[in-house]
Amino acid sequence: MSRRPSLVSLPGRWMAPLIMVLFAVLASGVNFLSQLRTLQADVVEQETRRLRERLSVEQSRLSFLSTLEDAQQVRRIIGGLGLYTGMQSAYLLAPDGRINASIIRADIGRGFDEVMAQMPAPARHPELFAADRMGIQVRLLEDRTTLVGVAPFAGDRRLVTLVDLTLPKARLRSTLVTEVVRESFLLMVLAALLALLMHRLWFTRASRLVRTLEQVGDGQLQARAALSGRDELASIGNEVDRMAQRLQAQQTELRYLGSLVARSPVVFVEWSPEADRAVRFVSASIEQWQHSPRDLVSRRLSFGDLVHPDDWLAVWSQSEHHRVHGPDEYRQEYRLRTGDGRWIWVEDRSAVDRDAEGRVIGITGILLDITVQKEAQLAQREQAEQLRLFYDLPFIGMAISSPESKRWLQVNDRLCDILGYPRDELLRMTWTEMTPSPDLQNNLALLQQMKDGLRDSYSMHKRFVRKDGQLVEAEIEVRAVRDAQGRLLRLLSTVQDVTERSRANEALRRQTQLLEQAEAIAGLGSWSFDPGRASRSGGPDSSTATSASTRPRARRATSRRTSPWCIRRMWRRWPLSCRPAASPARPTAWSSGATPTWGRSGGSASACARSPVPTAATGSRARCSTSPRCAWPRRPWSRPMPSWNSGSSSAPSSCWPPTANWRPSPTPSRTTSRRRCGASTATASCCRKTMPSGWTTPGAPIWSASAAAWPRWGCSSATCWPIRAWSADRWTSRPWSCCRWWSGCWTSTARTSNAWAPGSICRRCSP
Amino acid sequence: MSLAATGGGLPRVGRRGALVLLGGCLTGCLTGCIDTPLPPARLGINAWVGYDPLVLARDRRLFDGGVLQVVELATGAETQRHLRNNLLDAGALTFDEVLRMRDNGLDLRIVALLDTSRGGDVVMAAPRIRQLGDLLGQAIAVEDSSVGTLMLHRLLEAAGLAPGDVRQVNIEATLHLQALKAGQVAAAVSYQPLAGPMAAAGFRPVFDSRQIPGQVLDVLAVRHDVLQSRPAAVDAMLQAWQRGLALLMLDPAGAAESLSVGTDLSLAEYRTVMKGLQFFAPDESLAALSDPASPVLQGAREVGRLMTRLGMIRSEPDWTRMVDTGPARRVIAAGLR
Repeated sequence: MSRRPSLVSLPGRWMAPLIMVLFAVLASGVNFLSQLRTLQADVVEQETRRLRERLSVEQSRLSFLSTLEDAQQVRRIIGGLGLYTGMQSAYLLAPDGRINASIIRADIGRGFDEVMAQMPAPARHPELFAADRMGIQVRLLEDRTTLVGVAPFAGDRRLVTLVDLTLPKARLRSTLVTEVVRESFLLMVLAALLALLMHRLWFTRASRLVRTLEQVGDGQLQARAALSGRDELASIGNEVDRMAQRLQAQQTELRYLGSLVARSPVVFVEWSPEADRAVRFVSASIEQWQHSPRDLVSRRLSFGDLVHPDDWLAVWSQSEHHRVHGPDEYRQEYRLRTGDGRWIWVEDRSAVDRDAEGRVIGITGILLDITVQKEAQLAQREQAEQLRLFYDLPFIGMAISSPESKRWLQVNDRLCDILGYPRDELLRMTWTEMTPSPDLQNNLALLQQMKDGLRDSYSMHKRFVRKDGQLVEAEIEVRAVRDAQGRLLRLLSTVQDVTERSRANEALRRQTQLLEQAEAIAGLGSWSFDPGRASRSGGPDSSTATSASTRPRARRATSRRTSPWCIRRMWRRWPLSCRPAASPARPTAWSSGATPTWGRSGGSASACARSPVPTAATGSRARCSTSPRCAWPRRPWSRPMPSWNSGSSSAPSSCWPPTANWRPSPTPSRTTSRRRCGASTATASCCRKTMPSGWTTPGAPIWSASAAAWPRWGCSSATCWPIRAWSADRWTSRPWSCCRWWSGCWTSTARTSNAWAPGSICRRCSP
Repeated sequence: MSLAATGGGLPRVGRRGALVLLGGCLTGCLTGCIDTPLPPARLGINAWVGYDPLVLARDRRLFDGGVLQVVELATGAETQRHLRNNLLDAGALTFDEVLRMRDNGLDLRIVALLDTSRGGDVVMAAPRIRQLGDLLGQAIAVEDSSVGTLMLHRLLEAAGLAPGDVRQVNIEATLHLQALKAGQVAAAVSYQPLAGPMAAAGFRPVFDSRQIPGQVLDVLAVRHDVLQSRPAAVDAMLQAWQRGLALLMLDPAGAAESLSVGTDLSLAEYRTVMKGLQFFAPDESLAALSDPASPVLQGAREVGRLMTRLGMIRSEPDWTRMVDTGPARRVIAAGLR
């Protein structure tokens, strides 16, 4: 495509003086044409006046000479007219038209008509040479180059002259041209000087500015124009220098950033908005994926071919959606093939670039290898799924609750079944509003300890009020979830419905009680004998097996042979450690008073004497032994303990706590050993149980007895269960109040005065 | 890429060349435009028949009227006056007139010898003067020119009179006849064709230039500045003389017929007068001027010495500064080509 010539085709340093010269020539030309027309008229007028003056003089002189009729003299005078500038011809005509005198000697004597016929065409008009009696006539011929002057003389003679104006006009034109040329030359000199001045002041600096811009354009950002002055060019130069300086700083920063990018795992990509998504730019950091940026930019390698085929459609669709409908920034994750054939997961944070009119001009993306995170995420998701499946197992209730609001945050279906609430409704509730007293206070106390950092978990037996108003007994295990600073964030709880088990225990207890009452009524005794345990633990030997009868030494071998492991103990024979009659929910309506009722069948009199049972009138030691009117309160953590009952039907009503407010406390755990114990399974591994976590009892687990089932009930979980004491108006947990087999006696390390002092009793019970 | 290299302007050498070309064109245009037309060079002659070849060349248009203009004046004195007044560029003058004008300070250069008078200059006397001695105490009309003074001096020498023996009356040549008729003077130093009407009026010649051969010499004198500024016009003068003279020699009858008109001479008289003249062609003139021993130059030197002796000029002329043969050489060379 050819460029059309224009004023800007030439550099300004040539264009400016050229324009000035052209203007000078144009102005001079216009001036020349204007003056030429005026001066030509002036020439005619001036020559007319001169001719008229000359003819006037010659008219006078010739009039004098002609009167003398000196033809020779007249001819010389006429010939002398040739000195007059431009005088072509001069004729002195006689009245008959003959030429008396002439500049041309050969014309003398000839007729003027003959001579006139040889003149140029514009002069061949006789009327032009006619004399006017009024005086001298000067006429201009049609060619405007010849003046005809006619001077009349006396006697009808006339002097006819022809004056050529060519020379005067030419000279005047020459003078005018000279003047115009001089002016033009002067103007051009001035233009040249001005151009030189402009060259020095402007174009030299402009060239320097152009060179600087070219250098800056070529990337040499250290180039500076450094133009001095305060004019516009200097201002432009200063701005250019500032721009270059700023660009240099930005270039330095970009190089630094580029080096950072090159070293970073991030890959920058710019795609075209066309359908092929051709790569316009890609950072060199893509080499970490064994791809060459040149291959992508030169389209030897298509970006679409790098995307996993399973992901490409989604990637393309999402990109198109954002390109057409926005928003302009979006995020994608897909798999990308590396140069060595591996597939990696990349996170693509793309942005659609648009111009002022909203047209898409490009798409840029920041790619980051998230393969590790993605695999971890997938693994975590799989693990979470497994956890969810485990969480949703229908065996145990699980929940996550807030320690502050006590609200259920997450529950599983089993918990919903236990509590009888739909999940949505349950998630809007707190566990406090479905926990009755005093379980609520116990739970809050444990929670407060957890908040205070005294513990990281706790277990308890508590009751929940179901949606239908029924109470459900449960054993809960609560663990704390803390942040890095140790702040309590969540509570992870497991809830096991033990209502049926409690009911079974109750039923068993009732059966046992009935049996004991029956034995008491019948005067029968029974014992159990565990020779292995007795010999190993150093406990009461088999010969001193317990008996319910008044003869404690009586033995029933058969019974020993056939009894299961856990046979009730005979209190008379073996003093038992005083056990709290308290349950997690201590009955407050016991008829025997506000304190736990202690009773013994054959124990220390002092122990019973300490018992603040209101039935003290009949509650003496002997009376207790012989008339066990005080009954053991229900022990929720163990199988039903033998109860001292009076045997009368009124005994339970006086010593038995009302069951309405009673609920068993949770056991530390469910173990088969315990069940075996409860089921009197003859196995040597009874009560093999480790210390529950969180227990603070020093030393080894207190009981690890297996075969030695002595004491039978001591092997139960209740033995090592944290004993709760009633302190003031609430239950307190005594984690250390665990029974231990110590010095040949089961004893408790607790030293709580306001509850009971089993330690002393135990020591005293020791052999 | 630089602006100059991308064609943003002409290449550097090209631009300089273009600039030089533009300046040259401008200078040439200015020079051409400033070429002021010059008026034709004016060559003044008087009525002396010896100058008629120039009249013939003018009347027959043998030269460019735009370059040369031949102006017929009444007398030689008028020619000298217009030369001094700078109205003429050159003049056909007698040698003694040139010497006097140069002595007066006008830088004239002799470029060619035109003719020498052999009877053309004549002293016409009244019928009562039967011999030269009768002029004693008489009034003699002389034009205020050197040739008249020279003729008068030679006349007195021939008559054996002293300058004080006669009364010299300065009257222009065209008025001599009137003075003779009026009896104002007894004799008049004149020349042809003015002497023709005197003879027709009854006056008779008593002395002519045949008695002083080579001393009445007509030359073409050109102003020195014109020689330098307008050599072409000077060449045109010589060419006009050459062509007129050639035509005159080629057709003497025809030339005499056309030239006798206005001279108050009959054709026969005119032809007779013409026989009393010796014309110099340019080559003859060049040869005479180039040879210091030529008779013409000898006669001219004699005139110079005489004029010096008579006090008509202050010193003898410097011949080397008075003669310029360059134009004659150019015209001859041009004629040979």
